[in-house]
Amino acid sequence: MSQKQRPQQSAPAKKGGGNRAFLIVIALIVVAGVGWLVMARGGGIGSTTALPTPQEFEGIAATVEADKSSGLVQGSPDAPVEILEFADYSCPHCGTFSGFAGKLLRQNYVEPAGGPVRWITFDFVLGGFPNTVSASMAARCAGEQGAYWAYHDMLFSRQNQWARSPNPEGAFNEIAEDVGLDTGQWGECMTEGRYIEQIAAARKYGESLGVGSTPTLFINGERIDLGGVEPYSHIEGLIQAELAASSDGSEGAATGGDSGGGR
Amino acid sequence: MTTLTRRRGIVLAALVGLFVSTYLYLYSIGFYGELACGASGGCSVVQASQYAYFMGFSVAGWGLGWYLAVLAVAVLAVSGRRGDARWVSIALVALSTGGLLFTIYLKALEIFVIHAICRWCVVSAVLAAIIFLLCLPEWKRMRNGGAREGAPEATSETAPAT
Repeated sequence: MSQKQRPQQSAPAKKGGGNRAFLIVIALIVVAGVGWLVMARGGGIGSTTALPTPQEFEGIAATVEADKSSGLVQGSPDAPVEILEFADYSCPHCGTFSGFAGKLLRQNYVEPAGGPVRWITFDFVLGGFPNTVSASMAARCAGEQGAYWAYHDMLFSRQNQWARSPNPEGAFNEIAEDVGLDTGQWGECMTEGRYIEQIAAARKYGESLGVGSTPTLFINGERIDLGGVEPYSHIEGLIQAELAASSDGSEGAATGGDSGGGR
Repeated sequence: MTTLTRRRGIVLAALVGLFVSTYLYLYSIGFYGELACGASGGCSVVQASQYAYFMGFSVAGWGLGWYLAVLAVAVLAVSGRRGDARWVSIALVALSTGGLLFTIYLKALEIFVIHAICRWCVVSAVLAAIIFLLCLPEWKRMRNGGAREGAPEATSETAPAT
């Protein structure tokens, strides 16, 4: 009984103090929480980047001309076989092709010193994917630091992390860190939208060649539509045929030239 | 621990959770470019996965709604007369149990399916577990038809405080 009475006697003063402490803690949490949400808005590389919308891109695309030099080159300028690749970073077929056949072809025919194939990739922005232009910009900005192909490959391998995301910047930032970029410099390039015209020019160039879907390859000018994703062996056969034809016409051409390493 | 102290704990945990879920929700609608996720980098993997959406809404949005509901009921529970009503205990039990089960489901997805851990989701999971634990005595109050001042549970809880 006495146990029951004691808390009742001290309750009002105690309750008042408890209430005050409770309200102070709530106020502190609210202030800290709101401050954190506001500060988080400005934090992080690229978090304030206004990435271009597909509509903005189409507006710019209407003003540029087709330009073959807008493609990104890997391999020797003297290589007897030239492969043009038109791809959209968000397109699932492009991801499959790039992750398997495309990667192997580059490893076996482009990247080795004196490789017989020069690979030129063009951004071919399809409609319907919200983040393709940003992805193309991110890869080209990585190219300023010599990491275009590393970024390119990782974009495709992590396609499911950003292609349909309403906020792909986080995934782009992670790739930038993972390929070892100076993220400040890369973020600056992204913020400026530095390569958007080249991306538009690359698509225009594809359109001038009649490209309408991705991935599409041209091997020494001969078009291969990879909509169904051609197996590696088929494309390798076509390269071998081109090499055989070029060695018939020009002795030793297939083995000449230094490894380029254009970004 | 008194009933009032315990329920105040629920209010505080729900309030912290409200800010965490608001942060994740704002990220999900593109307000933030990236999540502060540390070296693990699992947040964007989790947030970009198909499991970031449940019944057409982002999981972060569900979390936000859940914390709001818990906060609203918990505030009622600490604010005098209405707090003793049986339905308050029923609501706290239902919300905390549902929240914990959903949290376990999400954690299982992260560990066994997505293979990535989002630190903010872990924070939210810890808060959901705390809320559940703090709500456990509500089961007893619920069965008792809601406790009133001077009822056995309230007495036994207040006595050791002095």
